[in-house]
Amino acid sequence: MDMIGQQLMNAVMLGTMYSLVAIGFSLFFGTMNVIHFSHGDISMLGAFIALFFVPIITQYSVLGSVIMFIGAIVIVAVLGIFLSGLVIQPLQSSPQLYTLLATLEAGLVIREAIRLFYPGGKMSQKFPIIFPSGGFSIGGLTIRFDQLFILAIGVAVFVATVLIVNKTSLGMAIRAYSQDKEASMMMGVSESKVIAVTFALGSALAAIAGILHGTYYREVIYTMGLTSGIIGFSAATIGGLGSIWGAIVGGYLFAFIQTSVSAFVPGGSEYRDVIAFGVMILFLLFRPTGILGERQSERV
Amino acid sequence: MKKMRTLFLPILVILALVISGCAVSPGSGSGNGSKKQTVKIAFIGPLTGGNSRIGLGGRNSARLAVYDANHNKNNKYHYELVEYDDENTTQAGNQVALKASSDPSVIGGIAHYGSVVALATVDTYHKAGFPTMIWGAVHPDITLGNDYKEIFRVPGTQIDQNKQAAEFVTKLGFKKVGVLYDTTDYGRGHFKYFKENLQKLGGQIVAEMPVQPDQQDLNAELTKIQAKKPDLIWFAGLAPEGVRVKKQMDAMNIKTQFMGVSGLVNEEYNSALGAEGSEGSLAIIDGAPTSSLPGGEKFMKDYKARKYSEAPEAYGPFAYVSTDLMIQAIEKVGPDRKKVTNWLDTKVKNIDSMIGKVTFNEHGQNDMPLFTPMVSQDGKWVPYAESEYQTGKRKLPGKK
Amino acid sequence: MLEINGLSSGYGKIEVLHQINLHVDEGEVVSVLGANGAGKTTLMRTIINLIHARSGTIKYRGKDITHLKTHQIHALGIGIVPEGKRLFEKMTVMENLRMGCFLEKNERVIAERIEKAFDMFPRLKERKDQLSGTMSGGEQAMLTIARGTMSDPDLLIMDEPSFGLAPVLINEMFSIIKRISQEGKTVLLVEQNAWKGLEISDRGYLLQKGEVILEGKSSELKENSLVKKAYFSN
Repeated sequence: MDMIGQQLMNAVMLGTMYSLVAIGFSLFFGTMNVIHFSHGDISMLGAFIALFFVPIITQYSVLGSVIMFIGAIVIVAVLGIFLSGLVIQPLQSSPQLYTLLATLEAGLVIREAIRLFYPGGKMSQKFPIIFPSGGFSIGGLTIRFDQLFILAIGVAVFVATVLIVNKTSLGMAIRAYSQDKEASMMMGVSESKVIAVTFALGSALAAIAGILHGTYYREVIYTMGLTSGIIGFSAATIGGLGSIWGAIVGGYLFAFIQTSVSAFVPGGSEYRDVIAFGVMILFLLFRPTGILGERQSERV
Repeated sequence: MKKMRTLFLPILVILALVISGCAVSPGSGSGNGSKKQTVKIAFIGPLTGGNSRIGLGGRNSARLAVYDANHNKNNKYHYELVEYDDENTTQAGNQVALKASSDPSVIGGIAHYGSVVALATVDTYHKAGFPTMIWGAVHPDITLGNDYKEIFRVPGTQIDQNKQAAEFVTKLGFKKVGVLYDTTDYGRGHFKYFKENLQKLGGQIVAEMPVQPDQQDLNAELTKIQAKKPDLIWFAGLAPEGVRVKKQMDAMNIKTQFMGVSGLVNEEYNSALGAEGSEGSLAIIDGAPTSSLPGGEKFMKDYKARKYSEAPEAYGPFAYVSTDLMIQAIEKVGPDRKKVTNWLDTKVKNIDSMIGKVTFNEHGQNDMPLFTPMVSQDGKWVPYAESEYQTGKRKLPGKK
Repeated sequence: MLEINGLSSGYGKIEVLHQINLHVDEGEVVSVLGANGAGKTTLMRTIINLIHARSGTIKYRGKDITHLKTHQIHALGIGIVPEGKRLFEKMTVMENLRMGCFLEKNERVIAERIEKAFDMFPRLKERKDQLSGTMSGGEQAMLTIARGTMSDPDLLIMDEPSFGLAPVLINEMFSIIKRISQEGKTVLLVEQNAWKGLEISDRGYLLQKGEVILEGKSSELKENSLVKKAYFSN
C-alpha cells in the first residue's frame, strides 16, 4: 500500500513538471494556433539562467532562492516574448509548417548555444538544492520536503494561471483573442499585447518547470528540454490543445502512465516511454481533440 | 604597448620553430643520413562530453607513449598521433572510425572507451583492414564476438571483471542486491555476467531495473528497489548516469551501499557529486592500481613530467600500453597495416609491459587476470585495499 | 465625422475597392447598399484596418486613422457590429458584454451599461450566464448589437445585423437601430436589405463592383431605378 503511495508521489512530481510545460503548449496553440517546438528548450534555458544566480544563493539562502526564482522567470519571460517576435509573429500568415520549422530550429539554436558557450556545457551541471532536505513519514509513506515544495509551487502556479486567464481582464483578452482574433481587436484588444502576455506567461511557466527539475534531480543538462518538450506537447495534446486544465490533466496522466509502467511492470522501465507515447497515439486516433478539448469543428 | 603584444605571439612562434628545427636537424642528420619516416597512429576516444575526462586521460597516455617512442634513438620511425573525438556516441564514433581507417597514411588505431561505440565500429576497422587496439571498452563481444583479426584489446572483459566484482561483493557480506542497468549492450553485458557470478556465490538479485541511458527520472525505479530492502544497489552504466542515480538516491535519502562497474571509475563521478555525495561508492577496474603496476611508478613520473592538464584516469595505463604495442609492431614489420595486424595477432605472447605481461588469445583479447576494487574516498577513487575502509578506519555507508 | 477619400483595397493581387469616397456626418444614419460581392464588407473591414488600405485616406473627426491598428481605432470611440455576429462563443452573455467595453475599467460605468443593454434586450438578461454559442440566432444577433454599443461609441459601424434573421426579428432589429440613432449615436450601416436600410437611414451609398455608383438622400435613392436594378438583377 505504501509502495503505491510512494509511487503515486513520484508520479505527482513528474506530472507537476510536465504540466507546467504542457500549459505553455496549450496556451500558444489556443491563442495563436502555433505549436512552439522550442518550448522545452525554453524550460531548459530557465534552469540554466537560474544557475547564474547561484553565487547569490550561497550567500543568502532563502532570499537568494527567491531572487533566483523570480530573476530567472522574468528573464525567460522576456526572452519568450523576444522569441515570439523573432520566429512566430513574422510567420503568422505563412503556412503552419514554417512556424513549426522555425521553432524547431530556434530550439536547436538555444540548445547548441548552451552546449557551446556555457562553461562545460556538454556535461550535466550541478544544480543547487534550494528546498530544505529531509522529510517525514506517515504510515510508511515517506514524503520529502522538496516534494512538498514542488507540489505546492506547482499547484499555486496552476491556480494562479487559471485565475489569470479566467478572472483578469488580461486573461479575458487572451480568451477572446483565442476565440475570435478579429472580433477581439474590434473590442479594443491589442494583438501585440495579447501575444506578448501569452508568451511571457507560457515561458515563465516553462522556466519554473526547468528550475523545479533542476532542484529535484540536482542536475541539469542542455538536452533536458528535448524530452520535456516532447512530453509537454504530448500532454497538452492528450488533454486537448487550448485547454489549460486539459494540459494539467494530460501532464499528470503521462506521468502516471510512465511511473506505473516503471513501477508495476517487471522490467517495464525500458518500455515506459514506448507505452506512454503509445497511449498518446491511441488518444490521437480515438479522441483527436483530447480529454478536455474543444470539438474539431470549432477550431479552424 | 598594444602593438608589442600583437607582435609578441608571432615572434614567439617563429622563435619556437627555429629552435625546434635546430634541435631536430642534427638528430635527423645522424644515422643513415636520411630523416626518419613519419608514421601516423590514430587515437580515438571521448574528448568532449560527460566521459571526456577518461578520454583525455587516455589521449594523454597515448601521447606519452608516442613521445617515449620518438625519444628512443633505436626506433626506425617517427610517430605522430592523430586524435579523433568519438564523443562516446555511435554516431560520432562511426564517423571518426571511417575517417581514421580510410586514411591510408594512418597505420593503426588506439580506439574507444565506450563499449556501445566500439561494438558499432569494429566492422569498419575490419573492412578497412585497420589494426585497432581497444583501450577502454570492456564488452566481451568487441573481441570475442567476432573473428576479426584486426581487433585487439589489452584491458579485460566484462566477464572477468564481474566475476571478480561478484567475489568482492560477497566477501564484503552483501547478499541482497538491487540492480539498475542501462539498456545499452554495455549495461546489459555487465549485468548478465554480474548476475551469473553473484548467484553462483549465493548472492541474490532482489530487483532488476533496466533503464534507458538518457532517462532522467529514476525515482520510480529506486522506490521499487528500495522496497525490496537490498543491502547493495549495483548500477551498470557510465559515470554520468551513475551520478544521476546517486544524486537521486541521496535526494530520496537512500543510505544503501552503492556500487558501479568500471565505467564509474571516472573522477568526473567524484567532482559531480562532491566528496560528500561520492564518499564510499564502490566500483572495480581492470588491472592493478597504477602505483603497484610493474611500470606504474615510471609511468606516473613520466606522465607528470609531460605536464598534461588532465590525469591519466582509470584507463590511461591501458592506452599507453596499447599505443606502445602498436609502435612495437610497426618497428618490427614496418608501417604496413596487414603486417602489423599479423604481428600483433601472432607475436604478442608474454610481452612485458608497464601493466605486466600481455598475451593476446586467438580473438586478440589479452588475458587479464587482475582487477582492482575501488572506493571513493575524500572525493577520489582509490584502491579498496589501500583505503581506510579496508583498515576499518572508515565504514561503508551501507554497512551496519 | 468619418471621411473617406479615394480609398482602394483588396486581397492579394485582387483589388476589390476602387477609389471610394464616402462621408458620415455627426448624428446621421448612413447606409451602404449593394449586392453580394459589391465590396460592402471589404469597405467596413478596411475602415477598421482589418484589411490594409492601398491608397486613399480615412479620417475620423479630422484625425487620419488609415494606418491605426484595429484596437486603436476602436479606442477612438468607434463601435463595431461585425458581419456574421462574431461572438465569443465560449464566453457567457455577460462576458461578451464585458468584452464589448473591454477598455472601460470603471466597474460602476460597466454595470450601468450592462443595465442599459438588458433594458434594450430583456431576453439577454434571462440568458446572462448562458454561453453565447448555445443561444438561438436571434438572441445572438441581439447580443452582437448589445456588445457593439457597450463601449458607448460615438460612431457605430454595423455590418448586416439583420442577416439570416426571421422577418419578425428583422423588424425588431431595425427599430432597435432606430432607437440607437435617436440616442444620439452616428451609425454607418451596411445592409443587403435595401428597403429596410433606406427606411431608417438619412443618406445612402450604392456600391457596385467596388465603386460608389450612386449616393444621395435615402428618400431619393428609394425611388432610383439603379437601386432597383442593383437589387433585382441577382
